[in-house]
Amino acid sequence: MKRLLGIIKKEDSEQLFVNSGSFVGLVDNSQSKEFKAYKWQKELFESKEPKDELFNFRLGPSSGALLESVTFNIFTYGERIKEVYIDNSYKSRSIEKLMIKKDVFEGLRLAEQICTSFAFSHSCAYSKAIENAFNIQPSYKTKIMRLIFIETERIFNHIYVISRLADAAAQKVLANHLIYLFDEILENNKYLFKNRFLKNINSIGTIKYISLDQLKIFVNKLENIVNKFEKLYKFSLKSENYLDRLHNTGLLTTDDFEEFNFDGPAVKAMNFSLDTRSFEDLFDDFKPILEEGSDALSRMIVRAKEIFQSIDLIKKLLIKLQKNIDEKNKNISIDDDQQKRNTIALTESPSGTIYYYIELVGNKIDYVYVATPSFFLVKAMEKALIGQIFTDFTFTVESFGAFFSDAAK
Amino acid sequence: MFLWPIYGLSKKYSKKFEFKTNNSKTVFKKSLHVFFIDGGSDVELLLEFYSLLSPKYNLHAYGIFFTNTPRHADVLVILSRPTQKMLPIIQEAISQMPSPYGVMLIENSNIGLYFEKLNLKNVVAHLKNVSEPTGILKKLIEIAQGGLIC
Repeated sequence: MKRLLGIIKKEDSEQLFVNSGSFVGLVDNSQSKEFKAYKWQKELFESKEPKDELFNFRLGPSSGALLESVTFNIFTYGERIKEVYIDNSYKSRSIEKLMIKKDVFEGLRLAEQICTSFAFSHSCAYSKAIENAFNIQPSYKTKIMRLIFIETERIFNHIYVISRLADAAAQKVLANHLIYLFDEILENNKYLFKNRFLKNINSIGTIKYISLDQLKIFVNKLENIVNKFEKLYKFSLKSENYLDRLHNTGLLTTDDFEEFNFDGPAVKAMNFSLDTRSFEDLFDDFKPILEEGSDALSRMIVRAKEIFQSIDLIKKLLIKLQKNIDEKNKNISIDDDQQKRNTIALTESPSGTIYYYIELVGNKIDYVYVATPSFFLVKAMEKALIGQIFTDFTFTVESFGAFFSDAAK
Repeated sequence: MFLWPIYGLSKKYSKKFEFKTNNSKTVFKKSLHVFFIDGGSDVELLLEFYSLLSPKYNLHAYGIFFTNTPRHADVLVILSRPTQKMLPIIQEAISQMPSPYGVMLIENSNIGLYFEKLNLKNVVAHLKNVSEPTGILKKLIEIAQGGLIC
């Protein structure tokens, strides 16, 4: 399964940033015909003008129905949605441009600000890229702790997405219980790191020192929260009303994947996986969660099962960590040697893989391109909404777990 | 497992906060209707506002309600320093608010336009580096009890 992750434009040249399974890197733009996603990424749309008989229902950028500032141009015929165009430019902070000429350590803090919900994943992907460029080898302990916190991020993000989905599907009691659990995880994060969203704990080549006892308490609390979630989740599956709203809503096909190259639970709900954790040596026998429905319900089930999988992975990682906890943290410094370097790295965030392509001159960033999962999911969302009726709008949108700040950067 | 309402009642999620309140009668007499607008944030503040809906914070007991339009709001909360494109949207939202109204500003990063340069009127609170739900709730209760908005 090939994916076009982005188009790297520099002066007059243009290259394609691609992932073809075993290869992640840049290729010549003469291969653009092989990627259907090239057309929309290049903004080569045939026509954005809707047909005369359609009504443009414009939702946003600021509305009670939306959490983030984004505009949905929904072209409808009666109650049926015929076309959707999402404008997330209100959220664009040009973070990639802000990174240019910045020191690699300043760049790390900007990477964390792309999207708080994936802050730790962004931080890991960015720091891995810089470590690759300067041949910095993070310790065994750092590698394991990063994986533990990426899985923690996955748990709280998935609970958040399911709570939004339950709220949209009029399951208010379930939604409120899940918000409580979401807040409890954030409090647990704060207890250990003084930050609710795991910001400022990862650094290039190292991670903040945490004692094994503290980490055990953290994992125990997390496990209790996941157990509470399991009760709620199993109970929610008895509600036929809830399931009926999500079943066959927001359907996607493999053709849609080829056209939009999206990733994460949206793909796993279509019974195939691009989960990069399969290649992670520290996970023994990792098997991605797969579902077959390709709809909002399958996406929700994938997320719920991933929560249970993540807590199991964390417990296994904790056992591995116990043997190596005494490793001391290193102070990493990077000299400004004015050498040119290119680097690529990736991390599996809760909603798909995050890729960083960075060009460096010495210890300063010269160019950066970030392929975020939400960038692709927003296009998948547009496609999945076509043919739905208005009532299904919120279930479809929330089922993707996309963040517009992540997409707009 | 019990039915939803019984399961919920058995949990007792609500937390007792030690905020200074005038007296219980005043708290329930006054209510504060809040509309929040995303200035283009990295979603941290949005998620914290979403956390405020947790039964733990029991917002409605303090007389605080979220509205779906600025026309029904007493306070407009601007989450994060706005992007250039969000500025006219924010100004329009403020112009739609009924008098008397207040504007509360919350910022958590150094990206975006400076609030100080926007000359926004009726600013009743400006929180910097306070993004946790407890801090936001405390400030909202202070505004509700300050007598400015009833």
